[in-house]
Amino acid sequence: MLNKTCKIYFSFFSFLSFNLFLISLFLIISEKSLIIEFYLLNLSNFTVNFLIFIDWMSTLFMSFVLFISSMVIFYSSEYMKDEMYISRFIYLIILFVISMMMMILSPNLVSILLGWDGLGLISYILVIYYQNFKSFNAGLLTALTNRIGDVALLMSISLFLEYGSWNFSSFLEFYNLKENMGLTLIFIMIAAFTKSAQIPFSSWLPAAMAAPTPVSSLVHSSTLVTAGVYLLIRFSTGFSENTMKVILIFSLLTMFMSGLGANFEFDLKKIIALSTLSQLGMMISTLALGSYDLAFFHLLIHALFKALLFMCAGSIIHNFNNCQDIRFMGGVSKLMPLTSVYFNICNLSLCGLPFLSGFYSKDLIIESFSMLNMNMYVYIIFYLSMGLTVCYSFRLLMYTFFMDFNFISLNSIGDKSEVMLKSMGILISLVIFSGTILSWLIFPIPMFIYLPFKMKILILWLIFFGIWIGCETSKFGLSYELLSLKNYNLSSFNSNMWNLPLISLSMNLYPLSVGKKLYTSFDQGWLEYYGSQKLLESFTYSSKFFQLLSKNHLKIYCLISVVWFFFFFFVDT
Amino acid sequence: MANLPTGLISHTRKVQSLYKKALRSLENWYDRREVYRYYAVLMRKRFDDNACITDMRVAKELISKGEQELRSTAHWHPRKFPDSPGGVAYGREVPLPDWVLDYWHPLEKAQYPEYFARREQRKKEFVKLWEKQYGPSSGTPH
Amino acid sequence: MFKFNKIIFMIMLIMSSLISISAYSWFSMWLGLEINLLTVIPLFLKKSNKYPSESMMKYFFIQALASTLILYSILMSFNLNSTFISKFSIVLNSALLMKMGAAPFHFWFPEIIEGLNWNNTLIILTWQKLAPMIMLSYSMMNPTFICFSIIFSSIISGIQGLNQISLRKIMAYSSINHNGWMISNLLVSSDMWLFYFMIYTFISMNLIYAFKLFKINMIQQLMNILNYNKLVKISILLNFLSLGGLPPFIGFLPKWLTIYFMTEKTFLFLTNILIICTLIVLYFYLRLILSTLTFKIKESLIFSFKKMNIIFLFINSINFTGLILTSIFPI
Repeated sequence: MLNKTCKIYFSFFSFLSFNLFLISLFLIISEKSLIIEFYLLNLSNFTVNFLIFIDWMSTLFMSFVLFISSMVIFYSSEYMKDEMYISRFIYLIILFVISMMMMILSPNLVSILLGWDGLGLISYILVIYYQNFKSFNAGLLTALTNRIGDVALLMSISLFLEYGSWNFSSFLEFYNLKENMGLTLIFIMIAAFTKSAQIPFSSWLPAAMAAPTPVSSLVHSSTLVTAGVYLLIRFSTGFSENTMKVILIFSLLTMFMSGLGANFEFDLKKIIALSTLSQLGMMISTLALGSYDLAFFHLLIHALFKALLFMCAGSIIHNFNNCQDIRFMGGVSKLMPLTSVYFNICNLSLCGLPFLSGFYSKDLIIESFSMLNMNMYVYIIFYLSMGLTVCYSFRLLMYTFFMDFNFISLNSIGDKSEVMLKSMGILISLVIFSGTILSWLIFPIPMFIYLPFKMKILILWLIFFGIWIGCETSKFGLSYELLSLKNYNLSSFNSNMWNLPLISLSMNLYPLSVGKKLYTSFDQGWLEYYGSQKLLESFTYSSKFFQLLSKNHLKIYCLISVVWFFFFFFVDT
Repeated sequence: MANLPTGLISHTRKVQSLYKKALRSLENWYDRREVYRYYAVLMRKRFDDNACITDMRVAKELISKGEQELRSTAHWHPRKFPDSPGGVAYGREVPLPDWVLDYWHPLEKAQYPEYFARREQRKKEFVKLWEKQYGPSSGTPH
Repeated sequence: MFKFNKIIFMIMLIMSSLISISAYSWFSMWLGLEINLLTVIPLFLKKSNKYPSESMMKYFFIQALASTLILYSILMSFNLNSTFISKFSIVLNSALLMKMGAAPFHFWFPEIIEGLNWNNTLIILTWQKLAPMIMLSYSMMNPTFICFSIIFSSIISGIQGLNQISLRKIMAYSSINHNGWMISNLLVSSDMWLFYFMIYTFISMNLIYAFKLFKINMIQQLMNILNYNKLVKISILLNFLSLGGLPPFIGFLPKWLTIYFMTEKTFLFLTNILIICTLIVLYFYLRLILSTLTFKIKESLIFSFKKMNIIFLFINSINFTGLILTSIFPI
C-alpha cells in the first residue's frame, strides 16, 4: 500500500533528522561550532571558497526540516496515493530538502544563492503540480516574486566582491563601519522579504496554496518561508539600526495585515497561510528588535505546529473531497474526532495556550518585547496582532469544527486514513513537548523578566478578547446584520490583503511594455542590423575582396615584397 | 472572446439570470442556510414587486440598477464547489486526450491489436458520418 | 616502390633545420636554411601530375628570395655596425616571416599548399616553420612590426578562410592564424612557443593523417567518410575544435597559457585581436563539422572500409583527455 519511494525516504530522513538532533545536542552542550572550508580559487584579492558551518543552530534547523519532511513524505504516501506521478512528487520534495540543506549549512552567499534558487524553482514546480489554471497563475506569481529576491541576492553577491569573500559570517561586525555596506544589506533584506513574503511581496504566499496540501505543509509554512528569516538571523549582527527599523515596520505591518486578512478569508488553506504570514512577521519583528535566538526558537516551534496544522487541514480537505471553503464545513469535530483534536492542539499552540509548545516561544517574545523601550505604535500593533491571531484561530475553529454540518449529504467523512493519522500522531507529540524541550536546550539560563502586573496580564486580556471576538464573528442568525456586507469597501480591502496582489500583478505592465519596445527597436531592430547582419555582410564583402586580391599573379606579390625590402635599403633611419 | 454577445437576449432571460446571480451572491454572503433562505425570500419579493411593470423603459432601468447593485456587492471569495468552474480543484486532473493513442509507436500499438483494429474501423466510420453531415472535407489530411 | 632518396632527403631536411636552430653564427643559420630549402624541394616531387612541380617552382622562388634577403641583411648590418641595426632587423624579420608564411607575406602559402599532397602539406605546415621562428626569436628588435604581422595574420586568416572549400587551403589559413599565435608567443616566452608548436603539430598531424587516409581534398568529401563508424568520425572531427581551441580539448591549453602570459606582460590589445579573430576561424571549423555531422545524406554506395590505425586512435584520444590529464598531473 505504501509507495516504495515514500518508504525509503521517510526512513532515511527520519534517521538523518534524529542523528542531526543528537549532533546539535552535542554542539549545544560543548558550545562548539565547526567550520569546514573548501578553498577553491583565489582571484587577486578575492578568495572563493565553499564553507560549511555546523553549529547548533544549523543542525537543529536541519533536523527539524528533515523531520517534518519525512513526516510529510509519509503523509503524502496516502494523500497523493491516487496520483499518477507520485514518485515525481516525492523526488521534488527531496530536491527541495536538498536545496534547503544547501541554504542552511553554508553561510556563503553563492551557495546560499544556489540553495535559494533551488527553493524558488522547486516551490514553483510544486505549486504547478496540479495542472489547472489557478495553479499556473499562482505558480507564476510565486516564481516571479521569488525572482526579485534572487536578483537582490545576486546584486549583493556582486557587491560582496568588494569585501574579499562571499563568506559573510566572518566579517559581519564590520558591516556597520562602512558606508556602502548598507546597500548590500538592503539587498539581503529584500531577498529575505520576498522569501518570507513580507509586505510588498506577500501576495504570493496565499496564492501558493494552490499546491497540494503536503507541499503547503512542508514548503509554504514550515521551511521555505522561514529561509528568509534564517537568512536574516545569519545576517542579524550586521544590520544597522535604521535598517532594523525598516524591517521592524514592514514586518509589523505584515503581521497586522495578515492577521486581519485571515479574519475575512473563507478558504481553509488560505487562512492558515495568512496565519503563517503573521507568524513570520512576528519572527522578523522579534529579530528586528534584537533577539535573534528568540526568533529562531519561534521559527522552529512554528514550523512544527504549522506543518501539523496544514496536515490536518489536508486531511479535512481530503475528506471533504477537495473542498476547501469553510462555509461548506462545520461539525467536523463529530465526524473526525482525532483530526479535530490534533487541529485544535495546533491551533491552541498557535494562540499560545500555556504549556503547549507555542506558549514557550510566544510568551517569551511578548514579555521580552514588553520590557523594551518601544513606542506606542509598535506596541499596539504587536499586541493587536496577537489578539487577531487568537481571533482568526477561534473563528476557524467555530466555522470548521463546531457549527452545523454544511456539506452535501452524500459524503464519506471520517477518520479513516491511517497513514495520515499516524504521521500526524508522530508530529503531535513534538507539537506538545518541543516547546519545553527546546526552551531548556536553547536557553539554559532562564530569562529574567520583570513587568508591572498590568502589562504582564495585558496579553491574557487580549487573548480572551480575541477568543470572544472570534466566536462572535462566526455567529450568525436571522436578526443579525451582516457588517462585512454593510462595510463592503473596508472588508474587501482587508480580505484582499490590502490590495497587495493587485500591486504585484500590475507592476508587470510597465516593464513588459518597455520590454516590447526594446525588443522591437533594439533586439529586432538596430542591434540586428548593425550586429549580426552587418557582421555577416562585412565578412562576406571582405572575404570576397581578399579572394579577389589573391587571384593576382605570383610575380606581382614578389615585386611588392621586393619594393618593401628596397624601401628599407634606401631609407635612412 | 467569450464575452462577445452572440445573439439577442430577451428581457425575460436577463431578469432570470439576474435573479439567479443575486441568489448566488446571497449564498456567498449568508452562509447559514436558514438565514440565506430568509434573504432569498426577501430578494424574491423585490423581484416579484416589479414583476408586472409593462413599461419597458422602467423595466430596463430597474435591471441595470439591479446589475449595478450585484456588481457593487460581489463577494471577494465566491462560494464554489471545488470541481465546478472557478473552484479550487477545477481542471486539476487532466485527462489524456484521445488522439494521444494515435501517436503511439507501432510496436506499442501492436500490443493491443484488437483494440487498435477496432479503433481504425471506428475512425473510418466517424469520418464517413462527418462527411455525410457536413459534406466532404476540403483540406488535405495531415 | 620504396624510395630511398626520399629518406635521405627527409633526414637532410631534419638535420638542416637543426643546424639552423642550433647554429652559433648568423651565416651558418642561413646555411641551414638553404640546405633545408634544397632538400624539401625534391620531397615535393611526384610524377603523376603537374601540380607538385608548379608548387616546387613557386616555393623555390619565394624561399630563394627570402634567403637572399636574409643573407643580404646579415652582411649589410655586420658590415656597418657589427650588431643589428633596426632597419636591417626589419628586413631580416620580414624575410623570415615570408619564409614561414606569416600574414603580410603569406600570399604564396595557400597556393603552394594547394598543389602538394598531404604529407608535404604537413611538412610545410609544421616542420618548415621551426627554423624561421627560432631565428625570428633571435632577431626581434622591433616588436611593433612583429605585432603588425600578428594582427594581419589573425585577421586575414579569419576572413579569407571563410571562403575556402579546399581542405588544404583551410588548413593553410588556419596555419596562418596559428602563426599569429606562435609569433605572439615568441614575444613573451620561448618555452610557451615550443609548447604551442608541439601541440599545434600534434593536432595537425592527427587531422592530416585522417585526410590522407581517406583521400579527402574538398570539404564536401568529409561527409562521405567513415559513415560506418560515427564515433571515430566524431573523434576525428573534434580535432578541429581542438585546433580552434575549445576547452575540453588539448588545443585549449596552449591558447589559454598564451593568453595568460600575454596579459601578464600587458599585451592586452593584441590578445583581444587574437582571440576575436580566432573566433572567426573557429566559426569556419564549426561550419565544417556541423554540416558534416548533422546532414542526413545518402550514404555512399562506394563503400571503402578503411581501418583507422590503432596508434592514431590512441594519439587522438590524447586530444580529448590531454587537457584534463595535464590538469590532474601537472608537469
